[in-house]
Amino acid sequence: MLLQGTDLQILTQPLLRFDMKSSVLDWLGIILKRDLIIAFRRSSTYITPLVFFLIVITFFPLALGPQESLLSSLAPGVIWIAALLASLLAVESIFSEDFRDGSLDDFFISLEPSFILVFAKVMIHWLITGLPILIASSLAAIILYLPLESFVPMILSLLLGTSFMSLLGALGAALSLGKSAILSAIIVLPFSIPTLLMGTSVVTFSLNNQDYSGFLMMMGAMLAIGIPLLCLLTVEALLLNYD
Amino acid sequence: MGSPPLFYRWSSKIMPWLGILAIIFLSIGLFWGLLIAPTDYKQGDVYRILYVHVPSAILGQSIFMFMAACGLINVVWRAKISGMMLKSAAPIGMSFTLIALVTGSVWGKPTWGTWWVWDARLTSTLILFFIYAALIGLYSSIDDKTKADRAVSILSIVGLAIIPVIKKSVDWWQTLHQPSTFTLTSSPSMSPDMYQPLLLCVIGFYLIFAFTLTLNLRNEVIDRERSKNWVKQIFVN
Amino acid sequence: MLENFNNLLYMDGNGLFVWFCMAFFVLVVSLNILYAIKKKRQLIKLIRSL
Repeated sequence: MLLQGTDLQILTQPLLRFDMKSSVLDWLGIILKRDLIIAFRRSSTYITPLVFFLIVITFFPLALGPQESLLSSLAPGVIWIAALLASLLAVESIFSEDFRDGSLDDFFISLEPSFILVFAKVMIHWLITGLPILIASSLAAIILYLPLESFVPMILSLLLGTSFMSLLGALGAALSLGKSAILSAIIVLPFSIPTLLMGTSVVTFSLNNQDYSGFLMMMGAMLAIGIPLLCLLTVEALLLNYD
Repeated sequence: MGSPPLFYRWSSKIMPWLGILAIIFLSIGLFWGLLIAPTDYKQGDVYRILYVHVPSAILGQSIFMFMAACGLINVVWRAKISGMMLKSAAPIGMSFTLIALVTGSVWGKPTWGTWWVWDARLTSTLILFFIYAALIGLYSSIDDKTKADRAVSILSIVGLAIIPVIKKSVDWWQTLHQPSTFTLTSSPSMSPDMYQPLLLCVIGFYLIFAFTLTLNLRNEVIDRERSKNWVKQIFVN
Repeated sequence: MLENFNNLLYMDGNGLFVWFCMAFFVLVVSLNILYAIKKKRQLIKLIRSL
């Protein structure tokens, strides 16, 4: 309903425009635009992880009882586990749609640095799962009685952590392309443990009024190494399907 | 050992020696460790679990490093044999990690009073076990063997990059939640007559790994080359 | 003789833990080897039938 004639053109045009000389950033923009339009057409892509996140958060007070002291001490872990699971929920859709209808083939044929394709897909995944979770996390923090001082560290750690999860998720999705969604979750989860540990540590440290900047720097370093390494490996994993 | 038939012939000569040496080292090391080595003055005789626990923990980690090296070679140079090595090593590494976990928890019962303690080492071994499970799960999901090799190689490279981070973060996490009062092995204070049998055990474990790896690798080679002539010449008289 | 055996088995009271670990190690390693041997038999059967 949002899209009329001009938007539909964007969906079909980029493949023609790839033949012309354009910079890497142009390509990034084109893919991002295309995928965002596709994602916004089907609202379930960004609503589902968000609702899942909030439901999981709600389950903890229901299961553990509503004591304020208990919930606020458990809040960092609860929010982080829910965020990890929610960002894994949409992992399978990163490449599967494009793989099924053949646009992935077109990308690989026409697009010189396929690194850009993967990077754009990771960004899209973060925009439709990480960003909504980031916004909803402050709501979750209120429900779980997390003190107001811990909001900023929680948001910062989730920002870095969900980005890393999107990177890992893209690799998992590429490796399990065409297989069950649960497989990609099993592949990714053990590798997400350091993110979970450091992310919860950031929030717990801020609860205890301790300096948490070391963990944030470590998470930033993981992200900085992860972007080139994981994107390249994801390209390699995707190419497995085109031998 | 570039060509499969050459590897097959060469390995059939070396394999019995690996097996014999492994049995010699293991029996001497374990006999010495379990029956002759002196009793630890603090822990008593339970410490003797160390002679199984420590070598299998070492093996669990170094097999992963071996697999990641194979994975790197497989991704960069597309060497098929390294992919087969990766596949043959995975179940052995997982077995040794399982042994390390089980013996660690059995050791915990008499010394700490519980079957499980969230000790930094036990925790990172458990995570290593899950990573092995992820690798093997990925293997079993892809039918095409060369493709499965490359997929698992890619994942093992990520594992290589992330394992130091896991160790570091588990250490931090542990100091955050509970001061580390427990240490299983106090290596610097270990006396030579406790240390020497341990060394023999570690060598024996490496040898038994090499033996099992060769067994698995030979199966893998004849499985993939089953329609080739040289395989038929060996098995069909 | 029997006392000797008991000393060996129970050590200073926790010997059973030690022997369990030992047995578990032997079990897992031999399962690995037996599985490989079984797989080889199956492969040879398969190759002969080709």
